[in-house]
Amino acid sequence: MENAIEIRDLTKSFHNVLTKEDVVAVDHLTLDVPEGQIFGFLGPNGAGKTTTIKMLLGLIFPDSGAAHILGQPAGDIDVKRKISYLPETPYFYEHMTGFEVLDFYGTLFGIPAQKRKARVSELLEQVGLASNMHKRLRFYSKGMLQRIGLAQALVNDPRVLFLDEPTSGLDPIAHLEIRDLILRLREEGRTVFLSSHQLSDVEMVCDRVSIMNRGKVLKVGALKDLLAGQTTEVRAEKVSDAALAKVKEIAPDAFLVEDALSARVEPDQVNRLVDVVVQNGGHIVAVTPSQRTLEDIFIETIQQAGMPVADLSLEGSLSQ
Amino acid sequence: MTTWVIAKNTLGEAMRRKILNVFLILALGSVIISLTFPFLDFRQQVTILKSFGLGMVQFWGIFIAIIMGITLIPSDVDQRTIYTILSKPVKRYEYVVGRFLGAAITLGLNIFLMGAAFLLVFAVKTNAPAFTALGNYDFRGFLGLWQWSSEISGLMGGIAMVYMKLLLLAAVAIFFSVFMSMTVNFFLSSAVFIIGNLSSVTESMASSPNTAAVLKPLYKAFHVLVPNFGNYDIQNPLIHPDVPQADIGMYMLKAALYGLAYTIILVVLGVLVFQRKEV
Repeated sequence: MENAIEIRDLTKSFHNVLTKEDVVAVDHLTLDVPEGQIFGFLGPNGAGKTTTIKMLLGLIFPDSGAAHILGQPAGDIDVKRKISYLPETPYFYEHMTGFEVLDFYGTLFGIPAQKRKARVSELLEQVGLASNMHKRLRFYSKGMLQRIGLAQALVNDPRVLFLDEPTSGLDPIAHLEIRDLILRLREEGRTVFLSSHQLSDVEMVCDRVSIMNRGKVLKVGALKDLLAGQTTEVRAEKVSDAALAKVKEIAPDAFLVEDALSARVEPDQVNRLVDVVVQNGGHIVAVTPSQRTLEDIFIETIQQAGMPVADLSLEGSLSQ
Repeated sequence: MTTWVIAKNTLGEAMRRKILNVFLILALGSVIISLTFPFLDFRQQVTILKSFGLGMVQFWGIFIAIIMGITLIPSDVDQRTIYTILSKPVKRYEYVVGRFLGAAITLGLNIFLMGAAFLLVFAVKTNAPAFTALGNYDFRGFLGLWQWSSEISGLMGGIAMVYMKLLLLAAVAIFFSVFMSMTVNFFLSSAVFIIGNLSSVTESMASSPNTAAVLKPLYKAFHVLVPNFGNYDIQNPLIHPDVPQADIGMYMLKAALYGLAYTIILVVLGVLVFQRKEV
């Protein structure tokens, strides 16, 4: 399988005028995205995801390194004919109607008028906005704008789509529809580069994921490989802080809420953990085997990189 | 092609912007209000109408040119509309030139509407005596009609000069807009416009023996670098055509070419800066 996107040693820093320091947003990033897959690009806020996407689109320029999309340099005009982008909370010309804005974007691709008209109508139908096509965008709800955003990202029949939080602001039904649409894109052989905080969505649709923080990729791989293996959740009560310190030697992400312990360990570590809890005066409440989720992997990866969970800014979406 | 798509969109966007429409309505209202000016003697009335009408077209045109110039590109960047445009096969120069052309067309349309209203008011107010004279078989008086039509063409030239002046102002504002905030640009473009209108002053200050030697290069730099907006102030010969003047047609052609050259330079510089701008 060929790579749709190849990133090699991509680096970008910004100068902070106030502190007079350079802040590295993307740090020697190397990444391959195979063609025809949905690739989840994850990371907490400020991890460097949007900066990476903007470099791939030629909106900003790397300090060093290189990126290729479909074998051509990122940012090249020929590449832009074959790709598309849905930014996070997209903003379009409000004076236009839904039809006009898609027609405008179609014109930028040089699509002939008749073909464009048919394509725009088809897309409006596809994203459920056919009945609102003559309404000005200033009267659209956030969800409707998101749908228009997705429609404009499909206007050129792209081979690679960059979607930044595509389900943001959508109601549950629209959310489901967009998720299905993303899956359909893969069935049609397109590559989707999906940046999202909705880890449940990513887990459901992605073939591969990468977890990024502070400009570096911490983990990358096929989702099924990352999720492989079971964990066991141990819950206990009357656990002291001193006991927690010992528990953390076995389960580093264990935490206390008042005196209630929650810890997740590999199955072969369960007995050891239970012993430590009981020997330190704790009462075991439950021992539950569970499948690892992407959320577990995400938190674990970021923590291992030395960033406490409390510092993660995920806008409360981890549990969604 | 892409440039034209961006220009057309800019025109559509500008024509639907409330603030620009308000300026246009105020301008039309100001021009039309001169219909109510009390009838003084014919000659005095013509002078006042010309002075007031051209002044109003320019006054409201300045607002339209500056507001458009300072907002068109930065609003796309601030509101992130630019992401969905530059991620399409749109070259950066096509975007900047398209935005400028759209501004030029919008400005032209606004000046055309204001100018047409002004000329209509002028015709209504000044033509009546000529027709009255004709009705009275006063053929000498009717010659005023001929004079009227030549004055109309002169005023059209005056309106065209106002357009060139404002186009140059819009180009200044668009050039600054690719690397400056809207607020700073508003004051800077306004300052350039004011200094450019005082070009003859900066020129004479640069050559005056009374100017301190250290300030002379500064005045010289102002005079050379800042576009000479004063070139387009030809109202005086138009308002007082009996005052001896040089070949006004040639003068206007030279002023138009000067403005066009300066405008092109500013747009090219804007493109060069935008080419490496991170959005």
